[in-house]
Amino acid sequence: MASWVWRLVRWVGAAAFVMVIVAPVLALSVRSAASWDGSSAGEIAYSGRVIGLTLKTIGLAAAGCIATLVLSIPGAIAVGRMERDRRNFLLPAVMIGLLCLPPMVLTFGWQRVWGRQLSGTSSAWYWVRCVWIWASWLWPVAAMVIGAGWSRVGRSAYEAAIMETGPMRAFVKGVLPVLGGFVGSAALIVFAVLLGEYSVPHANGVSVVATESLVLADAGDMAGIVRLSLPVMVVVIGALLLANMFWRGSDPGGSLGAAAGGRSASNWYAWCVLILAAIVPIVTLGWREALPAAMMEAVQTYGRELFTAAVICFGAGAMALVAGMFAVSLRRGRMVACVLMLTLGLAPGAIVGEGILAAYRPSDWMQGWLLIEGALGWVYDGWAIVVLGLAGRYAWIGMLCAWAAVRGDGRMLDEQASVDGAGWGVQLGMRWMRHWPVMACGMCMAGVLAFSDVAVGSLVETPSTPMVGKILIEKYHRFETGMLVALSLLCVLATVPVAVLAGLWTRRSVS
Amino acid sequence: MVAEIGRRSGHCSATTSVVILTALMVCTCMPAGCKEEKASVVVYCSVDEAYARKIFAAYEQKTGVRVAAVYDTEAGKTTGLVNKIRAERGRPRADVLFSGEIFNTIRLADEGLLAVYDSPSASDIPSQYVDSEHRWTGIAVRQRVLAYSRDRVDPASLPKLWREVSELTWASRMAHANPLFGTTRGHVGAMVSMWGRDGAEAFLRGLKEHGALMVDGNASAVRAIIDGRVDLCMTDTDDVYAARASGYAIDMVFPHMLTPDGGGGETLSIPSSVALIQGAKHPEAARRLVDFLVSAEVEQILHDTTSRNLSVRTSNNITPHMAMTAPTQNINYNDIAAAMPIGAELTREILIR
Repeated sequence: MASWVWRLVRWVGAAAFVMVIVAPVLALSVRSAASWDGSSAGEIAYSGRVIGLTLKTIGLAAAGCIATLVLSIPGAIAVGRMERDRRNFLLPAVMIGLLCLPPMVLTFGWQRVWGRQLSGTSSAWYWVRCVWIWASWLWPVAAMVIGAGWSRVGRSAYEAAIMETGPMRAFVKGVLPVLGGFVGSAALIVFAVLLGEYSVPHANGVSVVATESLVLADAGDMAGIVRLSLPVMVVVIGALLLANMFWRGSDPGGSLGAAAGGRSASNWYAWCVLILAAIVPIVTLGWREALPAAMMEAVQTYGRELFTAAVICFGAGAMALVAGMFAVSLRRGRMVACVLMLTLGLAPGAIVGEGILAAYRPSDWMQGWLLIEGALGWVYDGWAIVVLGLAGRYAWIGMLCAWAAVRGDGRMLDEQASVDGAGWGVQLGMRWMRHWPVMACGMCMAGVLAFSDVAVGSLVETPSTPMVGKILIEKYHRFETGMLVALSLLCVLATVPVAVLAGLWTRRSVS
Repeated sequence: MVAEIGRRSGHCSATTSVVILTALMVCTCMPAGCKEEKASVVVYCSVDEAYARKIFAAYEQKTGVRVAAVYDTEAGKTTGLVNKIRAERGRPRADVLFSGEIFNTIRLADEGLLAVYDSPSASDIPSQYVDSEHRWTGIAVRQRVLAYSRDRVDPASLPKLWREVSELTWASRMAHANPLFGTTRGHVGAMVSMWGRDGAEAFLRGLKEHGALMVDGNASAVRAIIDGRVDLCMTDTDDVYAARASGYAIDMVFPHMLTPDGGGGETLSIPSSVALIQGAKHPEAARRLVDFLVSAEVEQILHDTTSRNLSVRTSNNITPHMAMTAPTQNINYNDIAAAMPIGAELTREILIR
């Protein structure tokens, strides 16, 4: 590919990185510092309720993480044993499609499965609901990471250990120590995602830091948001740094795509989990509903909004990807850029939304600076601010995909390319080209998640860009079951392109 | 080696896809951006989206003018949009505010963020619902009610006064929305206004000490009854009607707001409100929309939805759907709006921190 193309991508990526990551972080810092006074200092004091909320959030995320790991075991085995042929592309494709499903859809589905009979007065029951829905949504993440570990190091360790001892002892003594890094990485990634997740607790009437911080953002309580989010942000950053340490300590080099190798084996148990965790709630959604009529009504009523939102979110996905590519391409400061991106993506959405608003809302001091005021006014009043907000929120997915593609070919390719005289940028470009399904999948995944976003979307929403996730929540609150089901199923359909791309990626990897 | 990689990757298609990727960020969103220019009037709307959409559709059909609306969330009801208007002071994005309550609108008027407009369509609205300086107009009343599960609660045993609701018997079985938002914020403001700071504080402390469940929004409070978490909740009439329309066994009573000296009367009636934003970009279109929103036609549309709002017009022949009482005539909305900051302060002190 012509080098000017990579230069262009890099420039666009740099601009995107500055606009969606650097600007909101700076603006948020400046705004927090400017509003800091004696009363803020009083506000920041941690009350029993705030500490309780923080502990509850961390406890729920930890429980969700454990449940996710347990549920992911069959999927991990299936991924680890994936055949070296093109027949098994369906399972990872559907798993990645499931990840892109708005968690709200699963929430509504499960609530219909449980019905009124499985209700209760105890708050603990609603915590259990959250944990189960989270696990049924995120288990593919853990399955893919642990499966990759098994494929690379677990099996050989097991085979070596079984020569000297029994199967159980071989697994405990031989496999677990080498697989620990992968399990730890998976756990910490899931944990970090759950700490900032909004829609599942909200729909189950459970207050956590993510729900409370959006409420505080609506109330304009900046000190409150900082007070609430700070401990969780620290935990997120700590978890990510630990995950990185685990990963570096256990990964000999290679992407998740490399997991797609191994011996032929049945993966019916993974399909069982898939059916239990996803198919049951989705099918129940449409059960006893006049679906064609409801879908038609949804398209007629919200067709324009759905189309506009899809275009906006696709744009946000593209921006998230190029920003992520830029961060990965940095030779200096890459770690800082990536951690910043991950932190912003995994923190409560209200933080990202407030940061974007702080960065792009025209202020009084700009009066007279026509160019700045005009440009910011254009961004703030239209679709651009929504694209920026959602790209900032989901840039971490673009970054992870760019990173996975770069790591995919190992050091030999690096050395060979250097011998051939290729520069760093060209080397990266080659890798991204080779792994285009990964990149496309990342873009689509970021776009689909943006499509169902509530926390950021509701803060940066403009008149021309209604957010589908928010509409879904409002339909839920207004008891409009038919419309809710129809919109949810439209979201399910929106995951199909991602699943197709994931299937293409898998076929490419195993062939 | 590198050349080999390039060949395998498909040189032309990859170049094309990267260029397309770059162009996507700018070009694909253009149609949406262009729509912004065509929007003739922008509304910040905290009336529930399902109901407001019907009203805006009727207006668009009648006039051909497109209404672009930003709705709020159930959790941040009205407060989020009001704070947005404050943040956009001097450079407003919205032309019209169509709010599901009135108290925050009054506060915006007092802060100089609303423009004066005496709509001819509001000429038959009682003066109680129209600002003396014509900065806002109230329409389509909802009422604060105590919703309960028909299966688990004997309505005859329910409290007759709001003050009794914070007692152990009821608060321990009850849910309520966060009083920093929506009509619950106004309700606590009304308590401060009618019962004094001490009365409102005692009420909130009662809720806290007796373990009332605080949730995100009135609809979530009703949902808590449906889920069996609580037996009753403080909410608005429209949330009960919406749940009933979906077949849930929910009903409601109308406790009185009586003051210690016996004044205060019936439950709190809260009108929706319509106002023109100061410095609106499309003032003429905004005035036409305000004329429509304050009309009897819109009150009728709102009454015909599951929201079942009551008309503020004495001339309007809308029959109450259930046992809703006629809106109380002696409520001073300005006093309640003025008392709201105290209510918010008490809420933060007692329920939030």
